[in-house]
Amino acid sequence: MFKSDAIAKGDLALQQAFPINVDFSMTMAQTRHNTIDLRPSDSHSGLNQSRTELSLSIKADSESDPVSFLTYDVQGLRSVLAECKRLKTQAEERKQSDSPGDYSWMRYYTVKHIPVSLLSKIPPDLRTINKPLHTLLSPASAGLPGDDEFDINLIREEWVRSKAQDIASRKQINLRIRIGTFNVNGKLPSQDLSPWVQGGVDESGHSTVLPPLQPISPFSLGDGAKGILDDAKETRSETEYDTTSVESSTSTINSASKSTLQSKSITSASVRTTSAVSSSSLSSENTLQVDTYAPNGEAQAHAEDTKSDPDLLAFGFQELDLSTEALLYSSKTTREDAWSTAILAGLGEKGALYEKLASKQLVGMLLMIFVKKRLRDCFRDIKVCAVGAGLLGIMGNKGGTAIRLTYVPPSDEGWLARPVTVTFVDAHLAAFDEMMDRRNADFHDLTRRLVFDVAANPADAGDVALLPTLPISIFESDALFWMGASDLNYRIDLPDSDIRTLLKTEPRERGIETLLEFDQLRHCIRDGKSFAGFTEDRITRLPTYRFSSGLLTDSLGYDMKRKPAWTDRILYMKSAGTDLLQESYAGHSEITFSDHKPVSADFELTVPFVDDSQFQSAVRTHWHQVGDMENNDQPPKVKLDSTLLEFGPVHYERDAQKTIGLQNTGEIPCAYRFVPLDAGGPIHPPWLTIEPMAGLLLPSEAINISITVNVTKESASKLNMWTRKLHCTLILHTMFGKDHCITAHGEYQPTCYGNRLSDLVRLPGPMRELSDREKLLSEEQAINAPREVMRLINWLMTYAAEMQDLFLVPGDQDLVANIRECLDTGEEFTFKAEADGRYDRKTTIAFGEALLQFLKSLVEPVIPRHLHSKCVQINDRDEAFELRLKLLQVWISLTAFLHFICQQPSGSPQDSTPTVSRAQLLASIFAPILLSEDPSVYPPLSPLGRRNFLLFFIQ
Amino acid sequence: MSKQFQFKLVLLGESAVGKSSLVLRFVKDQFDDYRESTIGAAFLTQTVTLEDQTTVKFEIWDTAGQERYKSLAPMYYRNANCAVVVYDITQSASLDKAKTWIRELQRQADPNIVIALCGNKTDLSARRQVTQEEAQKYAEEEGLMWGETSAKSGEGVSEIFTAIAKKLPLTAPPPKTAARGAPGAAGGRGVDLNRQPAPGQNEPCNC
Ligand SMILES: Nc1nc2c(ncn2[C@@H]2O[C@H](COP(=O)(O)OP(=O)(O)OP(=O)(O)O)[C@@H](O)[C@H]2O)c(=O)[nH]1
Ligand SMILES: [Mg+2]
Repeated sequence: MFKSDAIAKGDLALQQAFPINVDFSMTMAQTRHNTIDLRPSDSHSGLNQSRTELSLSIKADSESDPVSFLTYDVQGLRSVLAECKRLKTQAEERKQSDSPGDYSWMRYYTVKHIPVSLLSKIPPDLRTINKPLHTLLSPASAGLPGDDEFDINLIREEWVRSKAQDIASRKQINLRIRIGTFNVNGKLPSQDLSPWVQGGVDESGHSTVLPPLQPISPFSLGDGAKGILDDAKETRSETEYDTTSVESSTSTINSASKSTLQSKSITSASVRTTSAVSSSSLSSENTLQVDTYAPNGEAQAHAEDTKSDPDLLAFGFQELDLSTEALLYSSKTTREDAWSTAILAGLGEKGALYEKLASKQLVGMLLMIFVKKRLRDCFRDIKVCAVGAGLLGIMGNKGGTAIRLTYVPPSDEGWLARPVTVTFVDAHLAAFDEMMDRRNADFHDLTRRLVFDVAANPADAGDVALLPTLPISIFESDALFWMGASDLNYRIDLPDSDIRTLLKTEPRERGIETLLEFDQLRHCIRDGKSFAGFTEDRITRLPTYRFSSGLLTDSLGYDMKRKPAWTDRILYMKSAGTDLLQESYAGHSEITFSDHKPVSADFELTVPFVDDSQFQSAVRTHWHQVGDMENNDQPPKVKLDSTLLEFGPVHYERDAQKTIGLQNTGEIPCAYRFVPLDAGGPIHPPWLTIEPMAGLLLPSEAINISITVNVTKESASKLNMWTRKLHCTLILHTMFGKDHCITAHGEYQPTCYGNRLSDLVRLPGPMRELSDREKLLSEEQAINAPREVMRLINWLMTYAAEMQDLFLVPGDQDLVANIRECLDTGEEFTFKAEADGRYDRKTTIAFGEALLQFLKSLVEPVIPRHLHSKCVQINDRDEAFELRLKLLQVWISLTAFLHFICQQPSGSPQDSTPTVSRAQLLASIFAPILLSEDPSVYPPLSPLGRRNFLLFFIQ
Repeated sequence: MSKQFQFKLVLLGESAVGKSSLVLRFVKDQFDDYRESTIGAAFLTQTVTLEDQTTVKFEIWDTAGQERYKSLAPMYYRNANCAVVVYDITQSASLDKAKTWIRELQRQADPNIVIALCGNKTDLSARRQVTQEEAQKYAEEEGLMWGETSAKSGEGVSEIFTAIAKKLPLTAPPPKTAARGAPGAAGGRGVDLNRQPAPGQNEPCNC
C-alpha cells in the first residue's frame, strides 16, 4: 500500500505491505454518499463522471482487521483486483510447492528518502523547532537506550538542516514590518490615524510621527487618496470573501496573475549586504526608485521611499461592526473600504507608496495587509483563513482571521532566495467574564482551526489547480505575528483601586512594571497555559482599555466601571534562524473615538539569504553522507579526550567551564546524545549545563562539548547547608553504540546567599567555616540577626546613606562578588576608602546591590509568607508595628535604615523629588522582595498592600 | 504553681552609652569591647525569677540611640510597661539627653510606665562626670528608679532589672499576648538600688 508523497510530487511512499497469500481476501462495495468528501475534487481524474464511490476492503489474513479504501476510479480498481487475483493464485501455487515468495522488489521503496520536511519550503512548526533538540528525543537512560532509530532521524534532520543553512551567503533578507491592532468598538474612522499607521523609527528609538497632509475624514478624501482607494478595490476584487462561512474557510489569491509593476527591473532595498556594500548595488537602488515611481503618476512624485519606511503594514481590527446585521449577514465589506482608505490617508504622502495586498474579514475582525508597491511581486502564496469562536461560536463574532504569505526578495545576480514565510493573525478572543480558562481554551481552539490550504510545492507547480494542497498551520512560518485581544480579555489580576492608584503613581514606568506582574496574559505565557512560546516586548504604555467619554471616568480617562487593562497586544513567535528586532511597541492615546486605544509595533525582520537551489543541493549532499547511517553493520566509535572533569573550587553564581573533545574515530557517521543516569531523572544536576546535548559527527570529525558549572540561587539553597562536594556522572550515549561516562567534581564554596534567615542565625561563624549542618547552633543559641546582612546594613548606614540613587541603579557584579566573598569568609571588606573616609560611588552602589541580591536570594522572604495576607490588610502604623515582628531583627534594622535614608535631604538643590517619593520608590523596590509573592497563591496579594505595609516602617 | 508575668521593657538613651551592652550582659552575661551601633532597634527576652518564685519575663526593645532613628522610638516605647533610660557617667551630656527622653516618656508613653534611670560604665569612674548625687536627686524629683551599672564588669546589671521586676505591679498582670495598656500604678519614689542590693537571679535565655 503506497501513499502519494504530497511534497515530493509523483513519489510514492510505502505505507504498509500486505503479504498476498492464501488467506488474503478483498471485498468491494458501492457506498452511499452521505459524508462530505474533503478531498479537493480537482485532483481526481476526470474519467468518472458518475462519481460513484466504491469501497474496497482488504484483509491480509483471517485474524487481522480489514483496511478500507475509497475510490471513484472504477478502471483502476479493476486492475488492482485483477492483479491481486493473479498474485493470490500464485500464492496458492507456491503453497503447494512450499517456496517462499520473492520480496526483493520492496527494497526499492524501503531505502530512506530525504525527509520531505528538509526540502520543503514550508517552514517547520515553530512550536517544535524552537524546543531544544534533546527534549524531543525518546526517553532513555544509562544502559537503557531509547528509540535510537527515532532519535537518529531527529538529530540527523537537524544536522542536515543546519549544515544546509550554513551555505547562507553573506547577504541578508530584510523586511520592515509595522503591525497595528485596534478594537474600534463598531466606530468608523473619524480621526486622523497617522500616529498609529505611520511606521518608521528615528535614531532615538521613538517612532516618528509625521504630520498628516491635512485633517482626514474618509468621506472627504482628496484626489490622491481616491486613487489609492481604487487600487485597493482592485486588489480586493480578487480576494474571495466568505465571511458568512461558519467553519474555517480558506481562499487563495492568485498573486501571480496580478502584477502592477515590472518586477524584473527592481533591485530591492531589502536585500542587504552585510559586508561592505558595493557601490554599484547602491546606485542601482537609487535609479530604481525613480524608475519605479514614474508610471504611477505625479501623486507619488513627492513621496520619498526611505529604508526606514515599513515594507509591509499589517493592521488587525476587532469589533469593526457591532450591528446585529453584521453578525447575521456579514457579507458587506463597506467598512473595510472606509478603514483602508483611512489607513492610506493616515500614511500621508507616503500612502502613495503602498497598496493593499490582501485582507480577510470575519464579522468584526478584519486583517489588512499593505505592502510597498515596488515590492508587490515579492509577496506570494498569499493565503487567508478565518475561524469563528466564542460564545455565539458559530456566529463568528469572536475568533480570528489570518493571512499567510511568503516573501522572496527580488532575484539578485541570478540567485533565488528561499522564501520567508510570515503569518499574521488577528484575533478577538471570547469575552467570558473573568474566566481565563475559557479564553485559554479559545486560544487553543483557534490555533488548531486556523489552517491554510497550501500547495505542496508551489515553486514548481505547473498547474496550480492540479496540485495537492496541505493543511498548514499558522505555526508553520518563519515568523508569526499575533495581534488583537478582547474587551474583557487578559486583565490585570488586581483590585480596581490598586490598578488606578498604581497607574497614577510616579514614576509611571514603575507602576506599569508592577501592574504587568499581574497581567494575566504574561502569566499564561509564563505558565505555558496559552501563547506558549510567544514573545511580547516590554510594555511601557498605559493600559489601552477602557476609555469612555462619559462622566464616570477617573482622572486618566478610564471608565470607572471597568478595570483598566492591556487588552490590545502584539505578540510574535519566530524561528531560531529569523532575527526579529522590535523597534517600537506603543499605544496611541491621540486616537480617541473608540473605547480602546490602537496599538502599534515596528519590527525589522532579518533572515540570511539562502539561495534555494544551492540549499536543495546542500541538503542532498549532506543527506548523502548520513542518510544510511543506521543501516550499517559497524558500531559507531567515538573517543572522549577526558572523562574526568575537575572544577576545583566552585563559587556561587560564577561560571566555571570545561570542554570535552569528542571525536568520531569510526568509519560511519555517529549521532550522540546525553541521557540521564536514572530513568526519568535529570540528564545533569541543576548546577551544571552541557552544550550541545545532542549532535552528529561525521567520520573523523571532532567537536568540543562544553560543560559549565554555575550555582544559582535555586541550586545554592539545596547545596549550602548540605554539601561541599559537587559530584555528578554524565552519560553520553552514541546511537546504536556505547554509553560513555563522564564524571565532574567540584569543591562547592558555600555562601550566605540562597539560605533561610532561620538557618543563618544559627551559624556559629562565617558560612565558609561551616563544615557540617550538625555544627549549627541550637535555636536557643541563635543570634538575633544574621551577621552577614547586618554587616551590609551597617556598612551602608555608615557610608551610603547620602547616595541618592542607592538601590536604583545596578551595581558592578565583580564588586558584588567581592563583597559576597568577604561575607562568606568573615574577612574584612577589602575596599579602600578615599581621603575623606568615604568610598567611591561604584563601591557604594555595589553594596546596595549586594544587599538587594542577598534579600532576593532568600528561600523565605524576610516577612514569612504566612503573615503576608495580614500585612496587606493593615492600615495604620501602630497596627503594623504591633505585628509579631520582634522576631524579625532583619526587618527592623533594614526598615530603620531605609527610614533613615528616606529622611536624607536630596543631594542636589535642583532635584526636587520630595521625601515621600523617595520612600515610595524604595518601597516599590523592597516590598516585592521583603514580602515576595508566593507564586502558588491565587489571586495574588495586592502589591500596593505590600508597599503600604513597608511604608509604615520607612516613612 | 508559681506565677508568671510578662512585661515590655524599652531601653532609651544617647548612642554609645551602652544600652545594647547592658542588654547583652543581662541576657547572655557577655560583654563585647566593640559593638556595632544599633540600627532601628533590637529585640530580646529574658526571664527573672523573684524570691517568691514568681517569674517575670521581659520583652526587651533595645532602641537605637542615634539621632537619625529618633522618630522611630515612639513605635517601640508605646505600650511599654517599663523603660530604662541610660546615660554614661563619663559623659555629662548623656544625662541631659536622658532627661529629654524621660520628659518625652512622661508626656507620650503609657501613664503607668515604670521608668528607671541608669548610669552606666561605673568601671570608668576615674573619668566620672556625673555624680551619683546629681542623678539621684533628679530621679527623686521626677519619681524615677535610679541605679548605676557597668555592662563591662556586670556590676549592678541584674540588680536594676530585678528591681524593676519587683516594682512592676504583679497583682493584675497584663494579658500574655498583647502587652497593651499595662495596669497598675507606676512611678512613685525612686529606689536606690546601690544601697539596697536585691538578690536577683539570671536565667539562661530561653525565649
Ligand atoms: N568601659 C565600658 N564600656 C562600655 C560599657 N558599656 C558599653 N560600653 C562600650 O560602649 C560602646 C557603646 O556601647 P553600646 O552598647 O553599643 O551602646 P548603645 O547605647 O547600644 O549605642 P546605640 O546602639 O548607638 O544606641 C561600646 O564600645 C561598648 O563596649 C561599660 O559598662 N563599660
Ligand atoms: Mg545599641
